[in-house]
Amino acid sequence: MVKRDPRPRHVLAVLFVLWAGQALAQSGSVRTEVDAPKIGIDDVTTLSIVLDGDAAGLDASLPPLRNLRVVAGPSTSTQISFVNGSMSRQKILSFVLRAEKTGPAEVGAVSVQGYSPTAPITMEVVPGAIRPAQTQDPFGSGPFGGRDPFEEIFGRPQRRQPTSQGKLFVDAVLSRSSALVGEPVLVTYYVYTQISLSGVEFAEAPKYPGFWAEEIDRSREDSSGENTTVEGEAFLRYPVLERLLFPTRTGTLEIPEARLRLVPAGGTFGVAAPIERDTRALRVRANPLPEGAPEGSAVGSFDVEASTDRNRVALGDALSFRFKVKGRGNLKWIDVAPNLEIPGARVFPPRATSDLRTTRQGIEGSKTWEFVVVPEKAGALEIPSIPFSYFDLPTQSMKAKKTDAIPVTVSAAATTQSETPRSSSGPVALRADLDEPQSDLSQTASVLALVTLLAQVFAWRQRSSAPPGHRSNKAAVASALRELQDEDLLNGTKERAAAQIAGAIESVFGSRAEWPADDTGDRLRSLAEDLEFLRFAPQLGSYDLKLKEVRDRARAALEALS
Amino acid sequence: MKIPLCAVFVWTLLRAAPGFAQAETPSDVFRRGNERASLSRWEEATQEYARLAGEGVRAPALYWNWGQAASAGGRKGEALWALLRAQDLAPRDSSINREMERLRGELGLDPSEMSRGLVGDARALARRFRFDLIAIALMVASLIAAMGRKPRGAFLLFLSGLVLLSPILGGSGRESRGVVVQRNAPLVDVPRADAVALANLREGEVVPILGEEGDYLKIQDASGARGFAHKDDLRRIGID
Repeated sequence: MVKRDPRPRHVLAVLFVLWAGQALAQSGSVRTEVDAPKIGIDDVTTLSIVLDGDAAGLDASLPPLRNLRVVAGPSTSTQISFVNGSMSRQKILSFVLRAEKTGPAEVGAVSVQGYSPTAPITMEVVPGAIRPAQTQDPFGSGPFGGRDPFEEIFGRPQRRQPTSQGKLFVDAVLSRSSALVGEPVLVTYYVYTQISLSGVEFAEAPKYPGFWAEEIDRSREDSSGENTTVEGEAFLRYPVLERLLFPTRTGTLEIPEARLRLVPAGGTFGVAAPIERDTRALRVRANPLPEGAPEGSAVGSFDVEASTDRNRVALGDALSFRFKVKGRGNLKWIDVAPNLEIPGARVFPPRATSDLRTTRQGIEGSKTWEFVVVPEKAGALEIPSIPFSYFDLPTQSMKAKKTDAIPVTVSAAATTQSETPRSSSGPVALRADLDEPQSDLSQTASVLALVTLLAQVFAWRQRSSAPPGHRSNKAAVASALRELQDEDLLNGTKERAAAQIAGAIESVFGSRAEWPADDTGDRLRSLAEDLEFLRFAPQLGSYDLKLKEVRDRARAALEALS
Repeated sequence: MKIPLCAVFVWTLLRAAPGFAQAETPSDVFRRGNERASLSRWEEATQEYARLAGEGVRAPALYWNWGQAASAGGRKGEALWALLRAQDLAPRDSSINREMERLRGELGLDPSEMSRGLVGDARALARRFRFDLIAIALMVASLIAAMGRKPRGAFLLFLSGLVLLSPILGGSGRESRGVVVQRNAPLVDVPRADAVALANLREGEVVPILGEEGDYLKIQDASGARGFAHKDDLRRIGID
């Protein structure tokens, strides 16, 4: 039994369905929608132009807007569906709009060829923001497939169920409202949100007048969000920035409000306009240090230590002395090196190095001053104890710590065994007599250069004393050249030709007595002699070649001028 | 009357004797310095040489011996400075150049760290290879050409001579430089005792001197760092 292939019948069936769908879907429609008829001046709304059926194959332009402006779009989406054997198409053009001022607003009619214009949409704009930051996603999930990009940024451990509408605000919190001058205060900026965000940034850098600000090094875990409740509503709270502030003067110091720019994730067709929110201004009471504490004192909790790189040193050699302050507090402020004076040794100004990091509790680490000490005499030397005073926060009092004195033995240079001897033990090559410095002839050369320069100037003046008229008269040169190029010049007698050439030369260079005493003059004189020879030589043969040669030389002399 | 006249004569001789005895020649001082050096009393030897230099003695041998004594005493930077002075006075003395190379190697300095600047190096080169003689020859040739009515050739010869002579003539316009004579000498940020050290200078390094403020000289080290060094840590080089 032969089984027949069913595919041709299926193909025919599909073609029939398509044809039937085409026939039934001849009609279509155009309509406009906004997702909220009433919005705040700080809100955005989405305008959708929906083209159904046959209209989906056409295009629509942005209708006239009143009191509204486009902040994003258009974005286009197309849907094709088969329902009960009929095919339907839909195309949606979306624009994100923002109001320009409070009051009425209007989206004008949309005209598509072959369809009646849509009805205008009237809207109302009120002050502030009355809408949730994110509009409802018509397709049920955002462009990230339901993922929360903010979660990826901040590593949020627990994710709330996404809310289609939610609130959003920012806040700044101080770790304490009063502090001593130099005592750290932590300020943290938080974002409270009921929606997903894809980006957070400061619209402008926050300012801290009256403070020394240090940014805290934050890890990924530091940025994780937490669930919290504000006025009975659940929010996710994310720390955005933490700064450690050290008051630098007393009084009430105000931290101005900071503006953050927040970008909601998703939005209609992936278009989301950023939202700006301000924190509130904060105030810190900066109290002075207790009486008796010097201005600019270190504030915190510190320890000191001192060390040298060696305890024995040869006279003439140097040793390194290190004074180190370590602990937690405003260590970065301490920039005055301790005073170190060692009798019998020369102390060079120190080099300061630091190994500091900023934490929420303060600046931690150490600061080291390294001195180079060069003993000036052999014997015992003592590096004295160095005191360090600071305001101790736990006990709220001034404390003084000091290092131990360090003894150093300075040995004579020749007897030092521990160090590589710097002095040479080998013989030295001394010279027995005082000799004279080697002289050079630079003065003679200078005088000669001056003489030569004068000779150059003299020669130049001699050259330039030649009548300039003959050199610069271009018309005379051109005329003389024309005369030399005349075809009849060589057709006559040699005497006549020589006279004409001599005349052309003299018309430019003047008489022989005026010719310059340089190379040009030499050439002219040579030419004149040849011309005289041609004029007075007996006619014993043809002088054509000689005449041509003399004429060419005369032309060359004239062309050199032009 | 004879006795008083003799007495006056004797008295005059006695008065003049110490004066003659104190009239020590530079050669005597130099010899004494050499004696100290031969006894390995380097410090005393260099003091004698410094005394001579202070009196205005300009002899290559003086600075050569000073360099030898300072080097043997472990003060390589000072030795290098003395040899640079000796080289200024005797540019064609090859042993000075050799000794300087040896010291440079001992101090671990790059040749560029001993540079006296473009003009200074060009001047040393010109003096070493007798550019002055070549310049004189070119000037004479230029004069002959000018007299022979060959102006172009004369001018070219004159220019060539001038170019060769310019490093020697322009030597006084070179920048001031000094040698670091103290090991680990600090480069500080301000010319004050409470200054902060920015870096340590390398002994023997030749640095440009940009200015002077009190006991400090403003300099720039080979790494480009600018700051101040104490005058005691640096010795100037160049022509007096």
